[in-house]
Amino acid sequence: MLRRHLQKGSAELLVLAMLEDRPRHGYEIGKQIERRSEGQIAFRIGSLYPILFRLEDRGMIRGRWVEKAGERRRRYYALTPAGREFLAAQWNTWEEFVRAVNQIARPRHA
Amino acid sequence: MRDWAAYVRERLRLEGLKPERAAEIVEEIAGQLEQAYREVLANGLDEAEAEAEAASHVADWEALGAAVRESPTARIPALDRLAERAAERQRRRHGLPASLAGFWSDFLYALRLLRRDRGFAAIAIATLALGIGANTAVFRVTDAALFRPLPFPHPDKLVELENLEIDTAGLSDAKIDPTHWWSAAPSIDAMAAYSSDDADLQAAGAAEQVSATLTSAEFFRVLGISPMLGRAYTAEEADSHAAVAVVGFDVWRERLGGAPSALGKTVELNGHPLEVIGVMPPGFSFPQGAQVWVPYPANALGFFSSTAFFCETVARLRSWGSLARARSDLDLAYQRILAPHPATPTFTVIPLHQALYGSSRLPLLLLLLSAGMVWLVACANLAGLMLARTTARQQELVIRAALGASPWRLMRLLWIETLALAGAAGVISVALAWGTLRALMPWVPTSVSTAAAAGDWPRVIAFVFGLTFLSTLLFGLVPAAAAAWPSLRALIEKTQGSRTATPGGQRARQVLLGAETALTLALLVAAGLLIKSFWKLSSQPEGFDPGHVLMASAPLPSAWSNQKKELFYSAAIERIGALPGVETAAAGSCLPGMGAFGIIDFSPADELSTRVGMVRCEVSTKYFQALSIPLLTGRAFTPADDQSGRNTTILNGAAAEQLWPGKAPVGRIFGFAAGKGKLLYPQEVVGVAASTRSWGFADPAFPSLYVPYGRGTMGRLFLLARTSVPPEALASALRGAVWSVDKSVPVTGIETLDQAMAKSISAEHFRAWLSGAFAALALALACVGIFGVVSYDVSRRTREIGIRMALGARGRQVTGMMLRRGMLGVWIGAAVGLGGAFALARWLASLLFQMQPLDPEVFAGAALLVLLAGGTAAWLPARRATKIDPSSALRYE
Repeated sequence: MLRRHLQKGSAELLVLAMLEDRPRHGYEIGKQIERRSEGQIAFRIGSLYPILFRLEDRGMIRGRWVEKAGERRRRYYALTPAGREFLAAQWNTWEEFVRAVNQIARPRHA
Repeated sequence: MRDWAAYVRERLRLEGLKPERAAEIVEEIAGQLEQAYREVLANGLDEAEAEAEAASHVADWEALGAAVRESPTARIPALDRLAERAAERQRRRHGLPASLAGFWSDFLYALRLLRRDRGFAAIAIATLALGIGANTAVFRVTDAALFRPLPFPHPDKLVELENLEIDTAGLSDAKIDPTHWWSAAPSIDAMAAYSSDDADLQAAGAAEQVSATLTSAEFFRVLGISPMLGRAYTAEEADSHAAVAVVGFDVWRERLGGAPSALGKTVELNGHPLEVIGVMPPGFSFPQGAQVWVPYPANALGFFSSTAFFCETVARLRSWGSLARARSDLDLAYQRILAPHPATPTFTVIPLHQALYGSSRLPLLLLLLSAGMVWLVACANLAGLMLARTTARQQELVIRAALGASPWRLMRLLWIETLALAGAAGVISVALAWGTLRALMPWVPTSVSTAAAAGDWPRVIAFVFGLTFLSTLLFGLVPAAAAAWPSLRALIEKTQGSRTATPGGQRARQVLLGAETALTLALLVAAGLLIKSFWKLSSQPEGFDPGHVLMASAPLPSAWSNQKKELFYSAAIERIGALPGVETAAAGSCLPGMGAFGIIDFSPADELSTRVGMVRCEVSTKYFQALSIPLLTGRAFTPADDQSGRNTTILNGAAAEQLWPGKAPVGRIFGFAAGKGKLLYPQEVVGVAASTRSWGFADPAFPSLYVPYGRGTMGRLFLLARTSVPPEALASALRGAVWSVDKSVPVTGIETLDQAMAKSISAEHFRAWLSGAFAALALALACVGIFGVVSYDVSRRTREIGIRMALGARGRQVTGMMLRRGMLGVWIGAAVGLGGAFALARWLASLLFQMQPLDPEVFAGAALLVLLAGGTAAWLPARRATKIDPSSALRYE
């Protein structure tokens, strides 16, 4: 249960993190995660989209259609203040989690 | 390249989402897939490979769709979805209900408007609820008497023999049984005699006063209703006055446990044990209010006097029988049975419905008419309000018309608004009527209230529906039509120019005002007449003192001899007189203020051609003392009068005055004039007592003669006790005193004389009170209407008044101008109303006591009241016109 929650939470955390510096559209978010994780984590559209949708529903991000000359219009997502706050809190949880894992795991390898 | 949007639409199920949001989702996902496709293509793979790669991004369309559909923000709100689905179903099923949907949306729109305009809605609903409520209450009370057939099979075949009088002298008991005559009358299927009285019913250890009826054997067969449990009594049981009883449904359910085992149980009626042999079905109560029926020999049921026999009889005609045929059949039967007896009996045959409700028909119709007029005033009032409102809404209507709404459509819009108002009023009016009836019932005369108790609510509800709908037509449709159809182009110009209403609207409002005034004035006159009549009636000198008198009735078995009856009454009077708290005990066959039977013609010995119809009362010696009837001249009876052998009698003032106008009556002789100068049954006048009111509404002082009781005849006497303590407190002591003489005699109808007197004029009281209430209601509504119309006129002409005042018009002139305009309809209405009042007054003339229907005081008073009240209602807003500040008035609009 905790694991599933963390996984789900971590996927949301990744998406939010991608939007921290600037708004991005859905496909770009997936690509960005893939690039930053050096291909370790690949988000397919089918799994990314429900996350975006859920985050928007909960008011963490807000989508807006943007049209550029000669291009199809795209929906760009930006962090809302609530999203920013949530992201900060998630970072803390994540760091605590990592610290806990390190404390448990280190003696074995030490 | 593949059409990615179509690709997504095919695979992603998005039902239940707002359509615009679903389109966005498809567009966004398709856009991403296309981007993935292009990227792969740019990396040098071929189209098929690129498409496959892009498509692999969404492996599980079902899961994606489910995740998206969960989103609360994208979903259509539940209610809308429901409505949409319902509309969809409707469309599929009937294919058309756009009009219905339109009706609904108009209704919602009307509700929104009314919520915005709460003041208007409240006044309109209250006005209409009062109007409909009054009618509902009245309908509930009058329904049974006026509109419904009697609750018996083939009720049109039921008749009653009324005013049956037979000279009983020399007839055997068997021959004076009117219910046996029918066997000789072919058109009559069956006939029964009955007589009702209040009696104490003792069942399961508790006593209660019920209306009990003694009936002859055929009673239930005549009415065509059989007991739902057990059986009716047989002819043998009736002839032998067997100790059995049939009880009503309510008695059975409430007093006998409501189980079939109640049959065979014993109840006590006035102390007589009776075995319950049958239970009548619910709702059966004939005569009105009866709950216990006891078999009795028909020939003992009548009231006997020396010369006549009276009895209530009901008969069922055969299917081919008619009133005329029954009448001629009975005539023949009389002749055959009573021959060779010379006297011709008199009787009338009338339909049972008429016999039961005939006398209350006119007062009830009057009640219904009054309530109907109040309703019309309410509707006129509302029509005025609606007219003003639609005038104010003309701009909106014009825009709607310009956007393509047909006049029908506009009319529907306005009519639905009135429907919403009337619907609310209808609901409130049912509650109002229910509450009013509950509050009023104690004051309603029993003849009316028992009929009302039999009324059924489904009919009342149907009536409310009908009246509510009719109201919307009356006050809603006419203004709606007026607003929807005038030349709209002309309206546009007008509404753009100023807010002045059309002259037509102004005229319509004046007509409505006039109608309200006319109706109100007619109602006021009717109420005035009835109130004045009642006042005259109740302020009649009574000629006696009804205070502190307790009365009771003790009907004696007909089998008793006159001597036994006389001894019983003497003993009872003595025992009652000995009770502590009783000052004087007495008995008499008639009482002031109540009906009397058997009017007989008497003549003075010295003038045999003079005939005076008189009521003959048998009284005990202290009768006048007990009732405080003053003796005007001569003396009261003494015990010696019984033995003297002289036929001494005391007259009342009215009798003395008619027998010997202007002469001293004491010592004079009168009797029956028997032709050839002979005087039978001579009586000597020993005293004259003050005239007392005889029965509630007829001539207040009917000629009466008093004789000591026991002189040859022995009728049924009322027992009287003048008390020094509150008379109610002695009720059980009095009953005990009578029973100490003979336990088998039922003691019934114990009440104070005050109560009995009030009861005898309760119908007039109720009528006067209620018509007064209706008239007051109508007057109040009319005043509200006048106030509203003049206020509206003032506000509408603010600008004009401002200009007038700026040009130097005085406040008084402006007030006068507005008042004249406002009162125009009132004046015309008052004139029309007087005409209506004349007709109404003539119609109700028979309900009036000692007064002319065209009473000038009442007419003048009512007219003055209407003009004064109307004038005040118009003056209040008219005066406001002078408060208008010219400078702000000019900026108005």
